[in-house]
Amino acid sequence: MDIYLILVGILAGFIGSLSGLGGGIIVTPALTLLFGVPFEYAAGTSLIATIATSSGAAVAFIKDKITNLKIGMSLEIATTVGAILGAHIAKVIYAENLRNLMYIVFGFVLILSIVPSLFQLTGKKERIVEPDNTTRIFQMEGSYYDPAQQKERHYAGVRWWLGEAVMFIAGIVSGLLGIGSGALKVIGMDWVMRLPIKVSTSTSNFMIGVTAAAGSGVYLASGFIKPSLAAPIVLGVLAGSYLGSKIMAKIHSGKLRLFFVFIIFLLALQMILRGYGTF
Amino acid sequence: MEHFDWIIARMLQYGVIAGFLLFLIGLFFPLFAAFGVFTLIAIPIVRVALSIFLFAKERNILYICITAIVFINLLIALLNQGK
Repeated sequence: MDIYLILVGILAGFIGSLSGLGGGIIVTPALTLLFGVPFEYAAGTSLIATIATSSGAAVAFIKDKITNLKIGMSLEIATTVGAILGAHIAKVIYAENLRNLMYIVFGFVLILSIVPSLFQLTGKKERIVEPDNTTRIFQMEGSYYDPAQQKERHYAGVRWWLGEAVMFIAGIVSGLLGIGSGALKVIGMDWVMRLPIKVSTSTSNFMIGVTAAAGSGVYLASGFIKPSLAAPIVLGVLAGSYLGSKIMAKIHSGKLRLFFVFIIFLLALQMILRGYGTF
Repeated sequence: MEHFDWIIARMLQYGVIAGFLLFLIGLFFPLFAAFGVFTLIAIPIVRVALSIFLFAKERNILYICITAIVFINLLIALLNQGK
């Protein structure tokens, strides 16, 4: 049994890294659709896988010095609260046997999560951002070195309060579904706070781990995390993402990413159909 | 700042490797799988804790407080075991 879980984990990690969605989010559809694992245990396993992959990837972001720790940390106030809340809502849903709801919500969130991956395929436009009051108060100015353009790029984050609100929602989704909500965070930081996409992506990576840890706390207490399930899956996911990242480094193909994004889209549809009981 | 980045990067690396090894052993000895879970959950929490020191070194009062709040949130999430 373990060997199958490891193999599925490898597949999940591989698809996750090549589609730009990371480690955890594929785990839940894989476990529920392929193995019939109850949603809550799949979600719990997914959280642990998410912590593993995001922490592993974080090292590269730290080396490149793009992660904005201040912005990430201040937004995490809302995200952690949201995650705890979302996890408790999930507990109620499971207690009331409303799992179909989970499948449907998960499917739609999964589709939404594809959006940032698609946008990363399109051009990188520089934007002029006017700092506002929150930029100054929360020290949201920063810069990073862009090797492609060979210069230091400066940026400023704005609308902290709105960003905080979006992160609260992202946190709830994270705790509810047992995912990292990286995509929602990137959308929030990109659209609302007008940060450069590279900064949003790397800061989101930092935040994902913290949010997942918050959710894991509640899931652990509720008994939704089975170590016997987590071990083989996470082993596989780590191996799969590692493989995926190596391949991504060698093959710079937009088509490849598009292909895997399409696979995710199909998975999302299956989840939604499962929720409606037609699958 | 550089030095702290290095410490955090090392902690992340060792944490994930430790989790991986614990899970590997956990395939045969289930208790270690549980240790693997705890180790991985601990990683982001330790990272936040280390960040408090990072901001303390910079004497950034605002972010010492913000990071402390996040840390407390994480503790609240973790310490409600036994429900």
